[in-house]
Amino acid sequence: MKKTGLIIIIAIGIILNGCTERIEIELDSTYTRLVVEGHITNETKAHWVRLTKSVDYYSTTPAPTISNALVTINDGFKTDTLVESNNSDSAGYYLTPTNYFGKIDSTYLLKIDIPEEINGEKQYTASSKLNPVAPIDSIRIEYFEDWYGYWEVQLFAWDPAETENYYTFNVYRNDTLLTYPVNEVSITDDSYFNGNYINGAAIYYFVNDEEYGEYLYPGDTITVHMGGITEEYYNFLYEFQEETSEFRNPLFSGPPANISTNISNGAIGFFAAYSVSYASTVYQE
Amino acid sequence: MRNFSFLTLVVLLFLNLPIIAKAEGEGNLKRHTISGHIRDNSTGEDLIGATVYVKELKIGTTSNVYGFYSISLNSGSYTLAVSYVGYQTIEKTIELNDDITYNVELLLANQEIEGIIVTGEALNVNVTKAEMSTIKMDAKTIKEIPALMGEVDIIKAIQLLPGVQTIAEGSSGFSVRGGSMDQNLIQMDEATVYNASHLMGFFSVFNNDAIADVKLYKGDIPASSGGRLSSLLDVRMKNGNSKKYSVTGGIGTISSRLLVEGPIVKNKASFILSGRRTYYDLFFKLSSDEDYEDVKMYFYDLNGKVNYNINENNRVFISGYFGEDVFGSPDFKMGWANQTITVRWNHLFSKKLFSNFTAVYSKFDYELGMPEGSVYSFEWISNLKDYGGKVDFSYYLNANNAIRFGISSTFHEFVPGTLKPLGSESAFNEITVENNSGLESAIYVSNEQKIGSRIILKYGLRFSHFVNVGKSITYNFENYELQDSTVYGKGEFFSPYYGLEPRIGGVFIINERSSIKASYARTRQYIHLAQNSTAGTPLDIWFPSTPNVEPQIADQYALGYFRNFKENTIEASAEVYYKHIQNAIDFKDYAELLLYKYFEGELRFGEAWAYGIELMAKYDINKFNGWVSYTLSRTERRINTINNNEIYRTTYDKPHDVSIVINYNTSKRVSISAVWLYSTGSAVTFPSGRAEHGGTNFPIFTERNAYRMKDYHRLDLSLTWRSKDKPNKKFATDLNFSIYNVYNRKNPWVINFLTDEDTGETYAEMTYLFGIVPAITFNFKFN
Repeated sequence: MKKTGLIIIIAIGIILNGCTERIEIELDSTYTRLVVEGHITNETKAHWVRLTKSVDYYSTTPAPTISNALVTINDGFKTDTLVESNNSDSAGYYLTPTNYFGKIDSTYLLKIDIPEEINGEKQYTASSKLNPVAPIDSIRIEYFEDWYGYWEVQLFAWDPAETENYYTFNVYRNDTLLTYPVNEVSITDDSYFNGNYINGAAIYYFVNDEEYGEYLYPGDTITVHMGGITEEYYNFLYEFQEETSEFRNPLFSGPPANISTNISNGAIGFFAAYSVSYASTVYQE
Repeated sequence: MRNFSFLTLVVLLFLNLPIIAKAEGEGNLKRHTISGHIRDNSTGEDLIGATVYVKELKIGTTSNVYGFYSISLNSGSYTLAVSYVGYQTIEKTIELNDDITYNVELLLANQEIEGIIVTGEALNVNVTKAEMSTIKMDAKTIKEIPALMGEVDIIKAIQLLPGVQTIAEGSSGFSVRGGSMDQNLIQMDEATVYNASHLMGFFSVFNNDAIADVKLYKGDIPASSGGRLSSLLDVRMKNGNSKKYSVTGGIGTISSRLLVEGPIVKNKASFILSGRRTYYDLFFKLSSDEDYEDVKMYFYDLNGKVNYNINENNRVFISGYFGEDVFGSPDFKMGWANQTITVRWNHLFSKKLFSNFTAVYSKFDYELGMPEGSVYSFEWISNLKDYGGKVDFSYYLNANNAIRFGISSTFHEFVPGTLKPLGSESAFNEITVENNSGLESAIYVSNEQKIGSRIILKYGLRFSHFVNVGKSITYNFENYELQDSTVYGKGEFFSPYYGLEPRIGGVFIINERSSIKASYARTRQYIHLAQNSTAGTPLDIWFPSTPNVEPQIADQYALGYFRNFKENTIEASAEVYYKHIQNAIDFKDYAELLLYKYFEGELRFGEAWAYGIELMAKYDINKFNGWVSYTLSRTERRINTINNNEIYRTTYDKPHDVSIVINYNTSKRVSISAVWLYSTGSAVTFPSGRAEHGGTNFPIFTERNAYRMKDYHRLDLSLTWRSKDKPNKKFATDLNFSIYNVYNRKNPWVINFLTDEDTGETYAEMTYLFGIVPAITFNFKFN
């Protein structure tokens, strides 16, 4: 259903393109919250959890990071302590060893102990199950001449019928992640195609005009990472994309609201565990 | 509370029975009834709410929505004065020895004829009538109000009245005394109109040329009406000129309209047919760009009515409305449509007992789709059908008592929608949200009683009932989590809700120029609108009360002081109201409402309050007429799980609301109108903090609707230039120029926060819809 909503929004947005003007609005402040971002996947690499603090809405400084916190992850059998990165660019990042990998169907419990209280709390927890994901059969790139001319990256895969599945699609071009920041990531649930073959659904577009999007060159290797996420993470990403979209249309948007979280004690953000499957193709003209 | 008021009514009825009995069986003097229809002399149209006043007794009555009146008096000689706003009063002396039928045809105030006495006194009906919180508007007044893009619109016109707020700019949804958009019962000739808007709400479905009368009840809703908490907008369409043929039409900036009416049998049967269509999509067809050539974007309305006076005691009407909005391109199509068909029969059982029987069918549907041939091909169709019948009786017992009673029942069929894949390539599964049906019924009785010369008391009781009808599935939730479901078989009745709705009101007439009125009404609403967006869209779904959704109940109290000045040329009123709603409905954050089986789990319930003061002064002095109104109000809710269970304002809570309407008839041929309106900006939710995640920032909110957008105000002007008015002229034209938002105020429609990519700075940006919009309309009439 959320997809149908998107389609309508695009259509009506075209008709009702009103005029805009910049205005001054004063906003109140609010108390600081702990912000957590963490990802555990079934890939073998250093996975990270990032700790920052929230700031006032108009603030232009980067978020203050939290160092010297005790961050551990328990997978149901053992607990690993994450080590803070030494890199000055990556303050606030806590990493697992590089040979760490998440196991499908395990539940991961994150525990955080921060040195100074935020909002009266020092201990925070979150947990996420790591769901499996179907393999990608293949991906294909097709060019269309409408509008400015664009390429569709199409996905072919089977969606398992027995489970409720939620997906993210990340796209890399020659090892550069294009779907960044996270509100560029395509997300979907399987309500429209549960149990069906996903027959070339478009998950990303390249545009034949660099002003409007990413351009595609012959010889580029395009890799798609399909993530099998939990329903909670899907809801988080959906709400996140709603709240960070640039234009809210009163015809279709409900009132703004806080994004859900799976972190305890009044912290915000999300700790997500998910599995990833890949497919690549090289673009030939 | 319920038992107390029921008891009070029963007691009141019993206390009056001796008085009624005595009046009937009065010894020497026999009672006789004068009754008949009051109509317009040149068209034969019924005049609704015309006054018949017996000068010697200082009592009177008014004609009902079919133009019928009845008054019972002792034998004697009386002078009746029949009057109606905008028409010349007719006085006639009647010797009453027997029941008589006296039909009256009134002349418009600017017409002349000999042999009948006319008086020019303005009326004080607003002071003496036991009715408050209501406003009547006729098509002529509505036409004078400058309109957006020249499209005369009754819904926009009523938003200029005190107590009526817009929901969002352009939207046809309106809020009456703090109620939400779905709490207004909009009826066109007794048929409920579910979606009164075209083109996302910028225009309404009513073709003003075909309208005879509009009455808005903001409170003090009569016992004969129910089903919505906040208002009744009763729109009566013209019956069709029964004396001569007439063609009226207009060509405007956005749409054109045509109306044909005339007698089928002179003075006995007539018809009226009107249509309206927009044509902005024609501009697309002219475009050289291939992509735009096949774009379809239009709306149309079609109204048709036939009425037949079989004889003095029987009259039949058949009316229909068909309207549709279409938006389509080769890749995408969307549309919604309203259809209603009504059959009515007026029957006079006696001169004192008037009855009306109505049968209604109405359907509101919408569809959305992408044509075959791609992985996205789908079609989604949804609709709502009503099959209803009602019987209303008016028993004009005697000069002091007018009793109304009746019964009604409507079968609602809700088809929330099926999404079907189209073609073999489509990746969509078929998704169906199960149908739902409900039977909504009511029975009522009420009396309007004159006590002495100063008091009129209205009291009534309505009993309403709603029951779901299978076959359907109900999902059971615990703490908003889905547990299981219950299946009901075809025709199985389940989950009944019912209750009493007492209605009491009264007027204490201080003198000819002033009065005090008070009223109390309880209303129950069994069907609701799932509208999560701020402005409302045509895709909002109506849903019934079920085991998961209790009916909403409202109690409204109102008190008012009414005072006329300068021989009734200025009608002023001050009304204060308080409304409390139980089982108010709102939606959880990020609620999924469309095409979602379990959407009842997205609903949240609580209470709502609305209260305010409405001040209004209506004037009609020399060449100026119009009104000035000011409303000070508050509307808020407390809903479980929303805003931390604390009270929050609704988006349409606008403490100050001002309207100034001035119509100036400079001469017989030229009139100028100005409308200035002002309201506090809508309540909005703005962020207080931000946090980083995934390479970008997201907002943190603390309180819902704690901030406000900029105040809204604008000035509209219009000028109408009429062709020379010669007697017996066959052809009349007028040219109307209008300017919407004359000083080009940028009223915010929505405010978004954007981040400057280069500086990283976040700033607020407002979107506004209409700057200054001029329009021109050419209107004509053939007689």
